[in-house]
Amino acid sequence: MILHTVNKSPFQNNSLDSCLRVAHAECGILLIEDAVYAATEAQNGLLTEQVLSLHKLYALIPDLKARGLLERVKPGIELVDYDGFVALTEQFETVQSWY
Amino acid sequence: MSNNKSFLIVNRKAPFGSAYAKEALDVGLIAAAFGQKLSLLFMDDGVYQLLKQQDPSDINQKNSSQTLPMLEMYDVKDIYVEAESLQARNLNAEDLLIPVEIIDKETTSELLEQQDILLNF
Repeated sequence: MILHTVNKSPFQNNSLDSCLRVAHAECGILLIEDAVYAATEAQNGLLTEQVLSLHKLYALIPDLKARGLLERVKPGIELVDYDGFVALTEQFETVQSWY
Repeated sequence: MSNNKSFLIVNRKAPFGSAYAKEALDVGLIAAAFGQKLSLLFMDDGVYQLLKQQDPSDINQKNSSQTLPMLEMYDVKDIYVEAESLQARNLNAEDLLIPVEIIDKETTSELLEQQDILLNF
């Protein structure tokens, strides 16, 4: 199984959209850098309840904190620190980066 | 260059993912220090530059958002935010660090037309 990492804002390009289109249900999806904006409530947000029930979503705490988003994260997204990031890369067999 | 030209800095990028936000703020403060007629526009992901509670200490970046209140000290008072960009991100004026004027897309269009010089970041 794959750990998908996404690092672009969903408003900036279609990285997250593409990731969600091809990711298996059992895959992990980790939002880092500007992709953490996708973890907040936004109109036409890509991370619908359906998506969150299908995939395991993670978001990187230092990137959320930097952008003032720690208290804005949608329920159903697990927050991880840098150690958690490393643990995820070990837990999954490969990493696919969407940027 | 004539001293009475109007400048508009157009901010369309989120902070931290690139250097655009920081560079734009630097240019803005320099232009203001030289007494230029300066306005700022935040739209698209650029509105995220204005969010409260930013703290990039754990990603080893400078917190440019703390510099935003200095714009007022430099007499830069024309700070505009496009309403549609805020709405799309579920944000409103209370989520922002500094007082701004929220304008609709038609007014944004006019604002762009009025300028002598447009600087895009």
